Amino acid sequence: MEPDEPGGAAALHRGAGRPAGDHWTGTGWPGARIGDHAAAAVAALYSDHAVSLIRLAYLMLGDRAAAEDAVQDAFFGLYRHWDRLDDPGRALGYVRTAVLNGCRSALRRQAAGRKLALHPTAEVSAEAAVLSREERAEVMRAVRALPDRQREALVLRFYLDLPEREIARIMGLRPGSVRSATHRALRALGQSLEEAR
Amino acid sequence: MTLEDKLRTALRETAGEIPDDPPPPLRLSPLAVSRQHDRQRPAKQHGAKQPRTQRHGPRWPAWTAPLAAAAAIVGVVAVLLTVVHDRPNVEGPSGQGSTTASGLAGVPPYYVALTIRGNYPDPAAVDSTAAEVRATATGAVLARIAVPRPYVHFSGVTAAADDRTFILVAEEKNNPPEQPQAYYPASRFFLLRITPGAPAGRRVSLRALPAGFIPANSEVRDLALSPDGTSLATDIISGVGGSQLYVFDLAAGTRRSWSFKTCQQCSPSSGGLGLAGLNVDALSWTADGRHLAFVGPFTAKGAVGPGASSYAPPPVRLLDVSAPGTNLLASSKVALRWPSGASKRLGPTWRGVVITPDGRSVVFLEQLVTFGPTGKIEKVRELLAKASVATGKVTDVYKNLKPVGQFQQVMYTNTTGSALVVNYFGLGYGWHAGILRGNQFTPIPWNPHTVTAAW
Repeated sequence: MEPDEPGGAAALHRGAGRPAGDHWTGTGWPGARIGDHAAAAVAALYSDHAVSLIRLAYLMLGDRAAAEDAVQDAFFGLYRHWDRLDDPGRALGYVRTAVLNGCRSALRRQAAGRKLALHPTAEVSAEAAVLSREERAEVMRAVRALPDRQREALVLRFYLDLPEREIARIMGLRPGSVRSATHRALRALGQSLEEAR
Repeated sequence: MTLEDKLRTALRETAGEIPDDPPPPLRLSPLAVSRQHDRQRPAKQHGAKQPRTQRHGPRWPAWTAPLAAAAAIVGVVAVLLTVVHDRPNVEGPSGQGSTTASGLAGVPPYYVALTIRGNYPDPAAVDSTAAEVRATATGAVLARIAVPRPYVHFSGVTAAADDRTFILVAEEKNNPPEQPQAYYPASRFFLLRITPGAPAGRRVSLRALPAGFIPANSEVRDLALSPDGTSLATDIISGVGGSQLYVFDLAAGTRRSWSFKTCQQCSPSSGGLGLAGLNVDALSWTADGRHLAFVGPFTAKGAVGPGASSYAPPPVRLLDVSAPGTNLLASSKVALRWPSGASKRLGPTWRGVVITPDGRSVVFLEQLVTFGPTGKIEKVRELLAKASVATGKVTDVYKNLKPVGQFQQVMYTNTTGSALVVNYFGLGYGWHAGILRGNQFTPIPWNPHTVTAAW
């Protein structure tokens, strides 16, 4: 189960079934034209899934602004290629893959300029949190130290709870390769957390 | 708390730092996106590269599988077999005792395993998954089945009830496109028959099923062979047309399909049978070969999000494949609803759902989530459970099994669900498998490179 995308493709259906104007009102993005089917469909998808995708990108990047940019970029890519999309029902998978690709690019750019620092965690009350702030920071530091592919596999598996086949589709890998990446990532994570003690 | 639990919790709590507030306005102007990149990129890189959104990558060519030529022919495929006489499974995990034949509790004596060759987890080794016929009690390899070219690995397996008939899915090499879009390597079904008592070299035969069973640029998401081995149920998702449930008559080479629409404008089954494909491994037959269980579909009625007040995972439905009709919803009925009740928050779900052959119970892997007062996830538990179709209530929960970390698959159930074969990702991140009777778990010899199997 993907915690933030309960509707998945079904949510897209709901979006696609709405009147176009329903999703346009108030968004005010430049270049939008009433009656533009692609824009309406992309806007509907954005309305339903943007926050969850920003969260996904945030886990990958550790930077909220960069995460929002990666998601904007992905939706713009979807808009540009909408006419090439075989099945609008697959749009969420497309944009999710694009977000991950965007995160990889962002990480490469950031690596050239500066080391990606762990984003300061928001205040979480000790009672509400399962992990202590230090523990969580330690886990996230170790996650972000993993190679891109391994980190993606972990986030898709343990945050979005996607099955291997879906992860493989998103990452452009075979299920066996996903399994391998997950295995290595968990092993590296375990070692990293062990060494931190 | 296990490493996986800790990781899951850390990811969810960290993601929770992004509030549920409305996202920033969507900008569909190239200029706007370009400006974002300028803002993001260090000053010294300005003008060094085109913004990524301006780049037009090549579109990956569509597969051109020769469907028409191959569709009418069921060819006998040359099978490269390396037959190994019964011997102890030297690849089995150390420290696990053998299960005697008398201790199998009705679990069939042979299974077909999909096993990674080479030094796991070397990715090159992962790309050469082969099939093996193994003995349940000893893990001994009776035969190895090489993948017929041009396919490079087996990606799925299912079994009939006779313990002699299996279906394998073989896939060509994956060449992902640069642009993220729907892409699936070409694949094909193969019918495998085993004769364990035959002389070495004649214990296995493999036949290709019509190539047209799997349309070009489509993926087999799940498959289940009927108990008598005559019908193959599959969930196939295509780049065009979404996901459909197919049942192939293997003797006649014909097929029927079922789909559904969740709205007038929607593509048939574009969301898949389950929730965006999340319920793979969820096709199963009753013993009569007439009723097929599946999870889903996820309809707008059960959706969450703005305006929705509660959520429950899609139900288990039962399709009578002998009845007329092509509408998946109209032709099927709900067999079991999510037994844990609706939730106002997201997270609870089930997967690996299997109906027992007697049709009376459903075995499933259940994910339960405990939320704190602020809505944060406090605890995530995964349980293997069984529920009654008649009452809709959970009748068994298999728990406190050590050293089981998390069950991954229910690979076999006997008629009533009293004996299961499950595998799990255990301590040391290794794959293990065993027979579960009640809360008694008996490990079976298991090659740690084996990723799935069918009995």
